[in-house]
Amino acid sequence: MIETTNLTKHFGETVAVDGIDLTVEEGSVHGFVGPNGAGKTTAMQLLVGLLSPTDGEATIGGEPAGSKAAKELLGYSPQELALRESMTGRGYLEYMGRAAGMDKSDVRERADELLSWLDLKEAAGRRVGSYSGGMQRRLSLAQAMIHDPELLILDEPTTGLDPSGRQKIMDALRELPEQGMTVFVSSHVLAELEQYVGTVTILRDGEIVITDTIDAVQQAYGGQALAVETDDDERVGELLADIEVARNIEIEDGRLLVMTDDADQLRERLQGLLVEHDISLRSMSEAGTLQEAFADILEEGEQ
Amino acid sequence: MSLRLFVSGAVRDSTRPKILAAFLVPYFGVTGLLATALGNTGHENLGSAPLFTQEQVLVELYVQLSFVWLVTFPMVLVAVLAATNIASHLESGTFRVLLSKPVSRWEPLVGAFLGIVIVGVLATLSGLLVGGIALYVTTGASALALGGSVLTILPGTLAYALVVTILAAAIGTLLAVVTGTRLQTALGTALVPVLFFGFLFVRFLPVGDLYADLFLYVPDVNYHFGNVYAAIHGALGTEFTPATREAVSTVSGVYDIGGVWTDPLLSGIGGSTPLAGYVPPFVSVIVVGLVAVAALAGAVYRFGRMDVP
Repeated sequence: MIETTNLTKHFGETVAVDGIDLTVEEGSVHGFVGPNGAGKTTAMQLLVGLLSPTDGEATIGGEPAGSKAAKELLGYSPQELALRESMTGRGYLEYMGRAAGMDKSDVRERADELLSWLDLKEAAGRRVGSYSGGMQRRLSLAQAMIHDPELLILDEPTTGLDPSGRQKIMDALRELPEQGMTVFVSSHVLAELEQYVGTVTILRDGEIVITDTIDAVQQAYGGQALAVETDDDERVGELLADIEVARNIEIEDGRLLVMTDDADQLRERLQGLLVEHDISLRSMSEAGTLQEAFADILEEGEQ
Repeated sequence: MSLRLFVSGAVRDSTRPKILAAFLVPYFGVTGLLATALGNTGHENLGSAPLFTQEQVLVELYVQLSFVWLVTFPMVLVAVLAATNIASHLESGTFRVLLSKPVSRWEPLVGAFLGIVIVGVLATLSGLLVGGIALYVTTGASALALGGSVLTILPGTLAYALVVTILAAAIGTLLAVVTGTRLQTALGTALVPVLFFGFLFVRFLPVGDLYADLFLYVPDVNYHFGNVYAAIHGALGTEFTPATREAVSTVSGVYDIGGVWTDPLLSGIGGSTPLAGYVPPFVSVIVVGLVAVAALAGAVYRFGRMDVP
């Protein structure tokens, strides 16, 4: 669905995107990861056609990026919300649908469908400016999908949202491949990406460091991890700090993430600790962490 | 299809109550004050004068009021609309989202431009009607005289307003695309009426032949607009009497008032007032037209190729 060859973008002396060759397969959910300033947003804007490449080329479904034919295939939600706040939610969706060439009756039907799906139906008649951040994010997602595109390009779709707002967006994104959509999504909240992306590209200083399935990236760069939920995650975290097989202990999204090179031994030691300190275990599962892989990759880069 | 959508979107954005109120209150307010001042300057009992005199006086007053104020002030509205309808969308990123849809880049830009022109011309038309009525009321002229004066020169004045609005909107569109900021767009576009008023006063300064010697008429926006005004009325078949020409010249310098000679048949009303002739009117029309076309074409060209990050 997306193909780039030596895609390059300079802003004066600054090289924002440095000759990336990227392939995103049709029907996949592809994560795009990198630290701030890595060039993710610039690369996405090149794909949408908002920026012209300094060198190289990109195609969307075989059509040159930026062409009308390519734009018919894609929907885009930018990182910085840019909605028309004076319009109502429904009015905005209809306006964007009409801009995309849909006729009145189709756009109304589609807008209704999306407003219901994204839990915005009750607020559809309100001005967009009165929406909460989460509602505006969902509306931005809806406008990207209004003309039923084959590809969604989403730049940090959960930025600035509280956990429940993030969860709503992620739940929605999980359903998209079932609707036959390809999703290309950037995020720096890596724990989220792990939940719904199949393949991932990691970008650093405008260059692709690795692009592969998420499992392969985790295996290549990261260790194993246990995701643990207990009655007292903070106390468990303190206890684990003294165990040599446990490292990078973090509480993230209401669970304790513990990196290790020996998951079996960690599990055994942890169960012993919980019994010893009378702490109840709610759940424990293995979780490869992209965060860890990402950190390793960045560390390699710095070295 | 998309162009019509963008035009109606721009018209809707331009007619928000806050914007309209901020423009119309001072516009109509000053129109009323100017009409009162003009109507009370020796024309208080105009209704008792012969119909021809009433018509002549109303035309003179209306020409001055419309040329100096009614058509010129709406250019400030156009400047603000260029800032809010184009530069603001570039600043906020709403154009970015719109351009991700399968639309040609020129469509939202030209749609915004046309929307601004429509609102600018409608606003001017409202002022032209209010101004005419205000003069009718303050001079006490008869309704018949209103029909034979203001209404006869209204089409030409409206056509002139259309040209001026297109020029200001084109410059505003270009500035919005080039600067991408509301403030610079509004201030830059507002330079057109500022230069207009500035040169209006330059001609009143005791500069003698300096105006001609230094070719000040070349950048004199007021003079060129006057030429366009005269040319459009001429093209529409409006015959200005010498007294009307004198009134036009007072606010534009288009005619050579010194060249007036008295027609004894018309008891004191000048029989001939030649053009000042620094620049032939058709040249001013071409210059204004070219500037407008070049500004709009430049804006479309640049917008079609620029990065919209």
